[in-house]
Amino acid sequence: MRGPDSLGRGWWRRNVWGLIALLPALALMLAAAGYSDLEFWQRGRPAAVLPATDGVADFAGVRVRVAELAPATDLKRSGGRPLALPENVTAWRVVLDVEGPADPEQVPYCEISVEDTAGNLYGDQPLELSLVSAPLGNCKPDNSPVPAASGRHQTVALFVTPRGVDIAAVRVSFGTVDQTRYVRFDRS
Amino acid sequence: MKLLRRLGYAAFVLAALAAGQAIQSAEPNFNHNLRPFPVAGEVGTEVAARTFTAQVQLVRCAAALRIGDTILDTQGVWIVAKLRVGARFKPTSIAYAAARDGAGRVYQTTDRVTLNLVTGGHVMQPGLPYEGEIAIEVPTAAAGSLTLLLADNSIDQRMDSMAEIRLPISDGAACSAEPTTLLAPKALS
Repeated sequence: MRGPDSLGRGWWRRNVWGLIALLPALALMLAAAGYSDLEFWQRGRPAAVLPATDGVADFAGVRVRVAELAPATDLKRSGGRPLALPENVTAWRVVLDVEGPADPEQVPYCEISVEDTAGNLYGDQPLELSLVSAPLGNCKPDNSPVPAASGRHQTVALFVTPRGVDIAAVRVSFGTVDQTRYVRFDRS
Repeated sequence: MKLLRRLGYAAFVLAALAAGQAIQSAEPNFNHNLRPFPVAGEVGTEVAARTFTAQVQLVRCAAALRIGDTILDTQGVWIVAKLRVGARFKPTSIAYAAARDGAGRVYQTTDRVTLNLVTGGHVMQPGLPYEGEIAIEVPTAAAGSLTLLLADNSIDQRMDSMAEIRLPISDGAACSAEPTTLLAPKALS
């Protein structure tokens, strides 16, 4: 800190504008740092891709639509005996129509989940249905319950929720193709 | 006068560096900064971690476990906790369970018995809770100061919530000498 300059101004007077400019600069620095963190956090959350108005989503090299979303009341064990679920559990079946490359190897794996009206997510193949004989719902033609002709096939996934819970949407993600987005079929 | 001023500047710079060093060494270390966020609770109350809920319903200790026809003894004691656990908003499993004693030593659940409820393979759906018992083998002297730790990641528990529930065992030396059995996981739905 030197003494007064040739105009008689002290240190504070000489640097007053610099000191004033420090405040918005500090605010800008904090905002930039916060924005960077927020943007990083948002990038970590996959974004939803919605289907076209006809209900078909063209994504990850396949065309997908929800053919069925309904409570599953006819589940059977491996031996063919009916599966009785606890009173307060509802099982759901999701059937997707998948149209993709004729070569089954080129059809990407998918992961299907359902979302309830409160935003909770439920996964395929729950413990509660471990006794059920069901193909893996992974979008591959090998697991299709109907013959996969002309590159069209179906994939089936089973879920459980507490009784009284309503399903709001089906989510389909193709993690081997795109980890940043998923297809979201809202239940109409 | 000029030399004195320059010496003053140098002293100021040295003082600033020393202050920076002091602040840096006084700060918590990297692992401490990234430690889990504890969610504390007591036996009988539900603890809500980020992705799961957990309640310790009962705690007991014994000198041995009975698994079928096999008796598993120990040089310490077995701590057995009956848990009620559930997923909060997405399919979740509890993959880390341990007990920390008053000295900060951490004892993980035993691998001498299969404990599906807390080893990551037991994926629960929201709203559909499970209960079951877990076992942890600890030195007798540590049994009186244990806190149960639960998390959903088996490898890295940092920067995420961890349920911490104090286990009310007063004296490890007073544990039952009789072998005790473990309740397997079962759905509460």
